[in-house]
Amino acid sequence: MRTNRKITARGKIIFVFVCLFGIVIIAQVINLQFISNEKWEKKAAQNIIREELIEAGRGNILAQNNAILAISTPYFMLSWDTRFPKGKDSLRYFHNSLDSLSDSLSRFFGDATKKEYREQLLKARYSKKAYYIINKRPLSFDEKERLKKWPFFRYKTGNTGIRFEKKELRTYPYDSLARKTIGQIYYDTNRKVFGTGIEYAFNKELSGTEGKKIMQKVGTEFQPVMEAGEVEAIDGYDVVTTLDVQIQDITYQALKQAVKTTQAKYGVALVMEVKTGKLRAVANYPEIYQYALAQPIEPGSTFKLASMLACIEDKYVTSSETLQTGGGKWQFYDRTMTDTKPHYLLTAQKAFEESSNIYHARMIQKYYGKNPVSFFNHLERFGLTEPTGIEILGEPTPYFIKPEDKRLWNATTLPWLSIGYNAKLTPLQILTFYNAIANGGYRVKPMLVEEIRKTTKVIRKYPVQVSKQPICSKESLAIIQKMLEGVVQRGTAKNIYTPNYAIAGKTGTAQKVINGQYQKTYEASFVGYFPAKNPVYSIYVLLDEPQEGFYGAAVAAPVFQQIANQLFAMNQKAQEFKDIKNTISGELPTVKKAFAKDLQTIYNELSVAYQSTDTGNWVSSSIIQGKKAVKITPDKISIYNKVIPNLKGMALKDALYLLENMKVKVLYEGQGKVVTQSLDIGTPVKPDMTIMLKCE
Amino acid sequence: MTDLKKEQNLFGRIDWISLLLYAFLLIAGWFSIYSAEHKIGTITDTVTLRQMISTKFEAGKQFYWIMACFALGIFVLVNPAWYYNKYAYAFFAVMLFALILTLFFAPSTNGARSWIKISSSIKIQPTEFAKLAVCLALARYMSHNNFSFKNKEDQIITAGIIVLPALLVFAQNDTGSALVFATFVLAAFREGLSPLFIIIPVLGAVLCILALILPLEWLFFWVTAPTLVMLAFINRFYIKPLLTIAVACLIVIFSANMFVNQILQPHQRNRIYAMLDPTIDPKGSGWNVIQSKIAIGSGGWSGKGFLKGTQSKGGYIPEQTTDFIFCTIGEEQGFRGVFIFFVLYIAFLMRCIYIAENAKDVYTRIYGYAYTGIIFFHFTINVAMTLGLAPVIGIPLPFFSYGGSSLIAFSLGFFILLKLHSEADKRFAV
Repeated sequence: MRTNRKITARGKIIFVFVCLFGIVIIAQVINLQFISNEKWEKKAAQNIIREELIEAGRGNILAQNNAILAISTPYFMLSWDTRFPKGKDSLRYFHNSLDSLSDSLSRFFGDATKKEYREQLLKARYSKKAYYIINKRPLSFDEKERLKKWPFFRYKTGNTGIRFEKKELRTYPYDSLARKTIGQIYYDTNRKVFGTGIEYAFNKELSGTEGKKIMQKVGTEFQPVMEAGEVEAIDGYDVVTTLDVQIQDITYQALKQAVKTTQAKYGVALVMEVKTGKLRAVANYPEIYQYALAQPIEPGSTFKLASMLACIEDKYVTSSETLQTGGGKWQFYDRTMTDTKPHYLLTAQKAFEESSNIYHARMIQKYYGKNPVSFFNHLERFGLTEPTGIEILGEPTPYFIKPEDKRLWNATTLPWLSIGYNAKLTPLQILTFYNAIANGGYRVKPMLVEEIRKTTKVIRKYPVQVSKQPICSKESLAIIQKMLEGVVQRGTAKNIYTPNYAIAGKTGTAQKVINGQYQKTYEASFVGYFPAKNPVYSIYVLLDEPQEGFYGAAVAAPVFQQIANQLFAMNQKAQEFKDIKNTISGELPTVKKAFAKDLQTIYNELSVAYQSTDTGNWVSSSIIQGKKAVKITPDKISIYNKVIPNLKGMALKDALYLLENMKVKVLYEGQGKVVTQSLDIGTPVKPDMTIMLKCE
Repeated sequence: MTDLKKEQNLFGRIDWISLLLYAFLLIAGWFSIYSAEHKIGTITDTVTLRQMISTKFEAGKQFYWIMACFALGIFVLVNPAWYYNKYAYAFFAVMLFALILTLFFAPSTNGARSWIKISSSIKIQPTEFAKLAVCLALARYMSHNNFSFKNKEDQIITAGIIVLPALLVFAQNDTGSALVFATFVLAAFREGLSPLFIIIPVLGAVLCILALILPLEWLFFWVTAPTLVMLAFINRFYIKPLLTIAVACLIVIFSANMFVNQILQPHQRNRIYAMLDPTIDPKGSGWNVIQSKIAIGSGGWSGKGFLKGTQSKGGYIPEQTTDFIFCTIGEEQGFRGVFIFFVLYIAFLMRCIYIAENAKDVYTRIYGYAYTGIIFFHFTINVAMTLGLAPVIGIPLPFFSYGGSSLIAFSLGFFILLKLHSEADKRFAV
């Protein structure tokens, strides 16, 4: 047992002493945590930590063959915190360098004199703005690097308040090509995104994932918290469209030409690959609205295909079925329908070829007048009542005045519907229907985007979707295809007949409705496919309010023909190339100049024996006498001949050097080695040419 | 079990109250370090045992130090107590030597040369052990028969034991730790040292602070005027001491002013001024104090919750796992937590004093007081500096702050006290 519990006086004093300190401390804790608690809480709230976003690089939009339709390139803005440089020496430094700085800026940008720059800088300085942008136009990476070396910008790093801010500029290497289809995105004030085209529809894929870094307020400014690290931004994916730059260009040029010569308000042209539904060209002229995919219009005579096919499918008519058309005028209740040319007794084939309104209207009235719903059932089966599901947002659902809509439906609705009125469909929806006819009756879902890629790695592939059930029987298909071919052979579109290849199609001329009244203004269209026997492309052309001749045949069909001719030629070449292998019997093929690897690939493909003295990229080949082989020799001149070389795998720095020597403008993305180039190898260099490089 | 048996068995003779308090402090410290380390982005939001014992984190390392402490405790408790008496001088000599070595070989860390690097990851701070050596040596010397503060030789030797290592530590540029040696005055006071040794320095310190806060003219007036008034009235007998005091006060006031403003190094001066008014230089020397006060002040009654302290998360407080560990408790546990912390800490100190006071031998008593004095000084100054009541001198909060050297040294000291206490009866009863 402890016995000594007595505590000495000195021990007590020490106890008290300890307690005194304890009391003082507790008093201060109470003071801090209760009495002045609010003040400290406020101060704690000022110690803000916030997350700052690191923007992810936006993915590219590509066309076929890796052609870049839209790319984000970095550019730089030169911002200056005019309160800097601070401090006596730095201040003197600023004033001393002002002259040379203004001079350099004036020389560099060339948009203002030295004096003007000097004044601007001084004015900014006295305004004490924390954020002043010096450059009026964006700086490229190169320019930034050059500017960085100026003495003023190097002065005691950071003390001059100068910062190069990286921004991203969306550029379109093919300029206005398919611009409306590529689309655009905008942000409203709440950073909510909206927009058009592929840019908007695939915004999620393109925009990637923003990174984060944690910023902390230290004094008055935010600084990154080093220990916290940062979540790196993940760049967006590339979207590979089905568009083909060449076809798009052909289509666009043909359309543009036609719109100009006919003084039409606008024009639309679509090219679709029959088997896959891949849109190879989506042209609107002018490219201010996405008419092709999103504008519903009354289809006019092109809709007669649906009327005729329904009757054939129900076996009400065959191509020889005759009907009286009454010399070009027919009364349906209170309305009179006219034909452009007077006809009398017509067969179905002839009526379709000549696009007789009266024949189609009477036929539909005769067979479906009492039961319009069954006609609508056909339209449904043809896929005309549903949107096509094209990737771009905002595709309207086809509109029809329907029998159940008692307010609008009357006795004349059906006859006029049969010739393409009382309905509104987009050009793409009409084309999709025609494409199904071209594709042996099987509907193909039109597609604009085929892949989502991360550089070369495919992230997602969109499959071709073909309907399992055909829209009509084989017999009906044969009859209707023949009718479509007849239109070009003998009918309304005989002006575009060519013996080279068979075109099947249908003209359309629709009167426009303005304020509920049919006007003397028209929409002229032509839809069809070629080659008729084994269709490769289906094409839609529309000209709105052409002033020079309004019949579809007169204005729209030639555009079709122009596009088709060039596509045919392209295809022909491809076909011929494929055939070389088989026809190579006589002389061995040689080239004057070619890219070595490509040439070797070709020779390998063609099983041509070759000898190669391997030096350089550019080579020529010649036949070795007496042997059945060719010799590949380096082509020394080629480097001086200005063609775009193969830049892949080349360091960006080298590529820039090379290209700048050739006076080719370079836009590039990323750093490191060149991964893709927008201009093909061997493209001859023209003045003011621009090449896009993507590096990693 | 009879009392007799209990007395004979080590288990029964240990002072369980202080041991439990000690264990509690260690564990609370471990959690505090974990939380203080919980900077935004570095550790996930959930507490996992894996993180708490991972050597990647300071909390994890502390865990292994804590384990080492308990092992050390067992070692101390099972070995005889007379070691400490017998080898006290030897240990003292070794530590003096270590301090001298440190002076020459230690790399400079934060301006002080107080760490000896043993390997790339292990560093020890001999100062922490030197304090313990002084405790033991002091106890040994002062417990000899006939010791008296009236004896010149005893005075000199006692002063030597305290001042010699203190000077060496001071020479290492570790002023804070050197000041700790002043607390041995407490133990000396208990053994008969005049209270003036405590009163005069405390009053002196108060005067010094006043000298820095108030204008010199004022102080001069408030010292001289009352003295002159009093001179007119008091007994002649008191004139001499009164004048002595007045002159001493003036000397202190003027010399303090001169010392701080002209002799101290700028960073030391800044710290002192920052303590007096942190807003003078809020981004520099005042930074720690302001941020620490914000942390504690914003804790309020119930605190922001474990791991939820915004000041801690944001890493606003430098040295938060070591010198400013108290902020974490203040911010996250609020007044409730701080109060419990104080009660337990002071209970621990009181229990140590109680053990010392009730010791049946002088050696244990002196050792107990010396040891408790150190802990007390560390505790008070550390907490006071986080509250803005004391200048920021880098001394750890015993048992709480992260760091192997201080934890091991303080624990070793504690277990020696426990052991001495458990054997006191044996030595005297026989």
